[in-house]
Amino acid sequence: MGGWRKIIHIDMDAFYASVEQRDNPAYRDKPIVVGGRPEQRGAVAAASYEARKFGIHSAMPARTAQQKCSDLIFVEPRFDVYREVSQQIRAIFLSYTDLVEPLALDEAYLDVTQNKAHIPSAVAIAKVIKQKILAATQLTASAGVSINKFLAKIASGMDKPDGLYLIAPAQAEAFVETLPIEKFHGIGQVTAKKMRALGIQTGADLKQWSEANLVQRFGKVGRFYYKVARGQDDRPVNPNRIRKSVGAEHSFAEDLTSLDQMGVELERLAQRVAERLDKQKQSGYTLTLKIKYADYQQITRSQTLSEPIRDASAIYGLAQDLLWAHVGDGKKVRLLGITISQLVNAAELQYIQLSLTL
Amino acid sequence: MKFTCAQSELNTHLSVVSRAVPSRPSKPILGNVLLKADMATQQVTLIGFDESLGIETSFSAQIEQTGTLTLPAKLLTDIVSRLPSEDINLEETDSDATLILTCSSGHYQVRGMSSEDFPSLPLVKEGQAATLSPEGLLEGLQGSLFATSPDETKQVLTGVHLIVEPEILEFAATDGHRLAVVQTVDQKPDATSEEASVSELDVTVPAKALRELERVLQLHQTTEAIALRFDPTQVIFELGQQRITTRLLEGQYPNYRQLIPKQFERQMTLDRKQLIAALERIAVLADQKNNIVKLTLDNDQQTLALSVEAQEVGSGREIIPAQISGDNLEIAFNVKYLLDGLKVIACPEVQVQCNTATSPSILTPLSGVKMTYLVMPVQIRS
Repeated sequence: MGGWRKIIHIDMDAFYASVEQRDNPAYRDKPIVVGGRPEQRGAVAAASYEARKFGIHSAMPARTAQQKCSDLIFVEPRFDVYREVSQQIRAIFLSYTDLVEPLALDEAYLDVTQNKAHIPSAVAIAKVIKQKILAATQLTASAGVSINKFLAKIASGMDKPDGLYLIAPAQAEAFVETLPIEKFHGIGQVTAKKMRALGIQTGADLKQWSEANLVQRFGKVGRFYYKVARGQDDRPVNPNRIRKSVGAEHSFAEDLTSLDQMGVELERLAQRVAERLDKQKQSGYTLTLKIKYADYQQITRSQTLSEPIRDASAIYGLAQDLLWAHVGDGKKVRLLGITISQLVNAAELQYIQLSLTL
Repeated sequence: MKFTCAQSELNTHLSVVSRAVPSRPSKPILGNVLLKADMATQQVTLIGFDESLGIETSFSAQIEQTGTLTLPAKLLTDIVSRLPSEDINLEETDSDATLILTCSSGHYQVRGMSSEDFPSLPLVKEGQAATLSPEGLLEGLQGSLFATSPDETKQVLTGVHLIVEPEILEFAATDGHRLAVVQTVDQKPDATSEEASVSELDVTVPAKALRELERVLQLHQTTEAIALRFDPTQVIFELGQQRITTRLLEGQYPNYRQLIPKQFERQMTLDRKQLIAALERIAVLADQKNNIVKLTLDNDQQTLALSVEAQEVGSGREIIPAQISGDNLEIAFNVKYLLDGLKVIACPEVQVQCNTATSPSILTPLSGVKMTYLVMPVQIRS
């Protein structure tokens, strides 16, 4: 085990749905989804394994989910309860290592290279953690064990639910080579499609590409692809993960039809984003406007500025520019969102190396 | 293959070509150098090639038998560099692509590979040609290479943009924060009629290849004209016995000429050495934090103050005389950017022109090379 890190990725199985099934016997063994109701135009936040058999998955519009399964039970989310469970499992993680990086309420990375239990085997730790989670919450989790975050995350998805999967250092490269491209965490549907068009079907294909070519084709993230194609990922498990973006979005109960209405909503969103930025003492260079039309078609448009912005009026102004430039004529809008990314701390603002506009 | 040559000669030429041998070759044979001995010309030719950059060099030797072989570059270089400085004998064995090196201290056998699979250096058959003077070329390279971007993802910015117009040779490089442009008037030492007619050339050449060219130029201090042949994908520099080929960088180079302001509200003239010395002292502290130096132009006193504040480490301030016109100004820069430019501006006095604390400033030498070095300032906000 010379020098390898020991990383565990823990992912609760169908988390919100499982909590609901635990607390309400009527939901057990039934297809349920947690999230908004179809008549409120909500989306699926989590689907039970029974619901997944019908092809229902998270982020799917509730209406579509209902069409796929007429017996589907819609359950209102109870975030307080989920947060409580999340605290419980986090306490278990922290009893083994302080290097815990929560990704969401239901998943986290753990670096157990050094651990408080002095257990050399990461697999053994993962097993105990799973047992403790079950004992404390009556819920199952899946664990992935490997030498970095990328591989651990893939591993946790290999054997769901209630799984435990190890990608050993010696297998890492071979494992990634056989992996279909869309299974790569960090490669979404759109990128996967692009890659398939370029003849990249698996990790082995991806590996044929030079770093420079990947960057040319996909931008900066090409570097990440280059590394993970080799099973490498040196991102540390960061217990104080810094947010990459701050944003807010809203689905409207009734579709918006006029630019005036949209402007009013944008102003509200801008206000909320500005408040969140302020709370975190951050500002950002890039603003992204998300527009989802009534037909669920979605567009995002971004603009990067030479100086970071943080106040509501600047955010509103820029978001409105983007809206006017890009919103489809006469199209009904069901959702608007504003995200600020490329964040910098307010303290770092003091010195800005100016750039040439090439 | 069999020949005898001076150890020093082989060593020098090996070290030149081995710079084009990749440390992690994509196929094994590219980790080798190609060795070619030709009885007819009594020349030994060496080639290293990483599929983008290729270097070929030749030297005279006593050739007894013609032949070609490729050998592991690093191994061969490491052995040859340690051999005694005398004539050494190199001979290929009959059977298995092995080279035997013999000198007074003993002999070595190095296993090589057949040259069949070694890719040949690209040729430019139907391209255009130009000739350049070595001085002009070196001046241009020294004045621009430092400003290229080291970031591979920046594509064209990792190279130097070369424009050849009749009599004028322009080099430009930028990493997005600064821009160096050098214009040299091309005095061709030997403008033979056929090839000398310069077609206009507008290409971006990878910095890596140009650094090798710079090295070779400095090493040989030739006065012979350098021939340049290019087509849309390749450029070849030919300097006497040496040939450097490289793939060109694809993509539109930024229209940098429009970035250089034509008018300035402020101007100062400084003693270059004095400025460098002060900045180097300032840099010691600036290095500790964010590399920022603050310049204060004082028109009343006709001085320039340089100051550094490295939080929790220390601070420093120097004042040097300057001929200043225009209003007082405080402006900050990355001290490294200033030093990079000042070091290649080889003249006693340098002129600095600026408008505001957030607009581009330019540095120019008052004599000698025609160079414009534009630097974007660092904006300070409280």
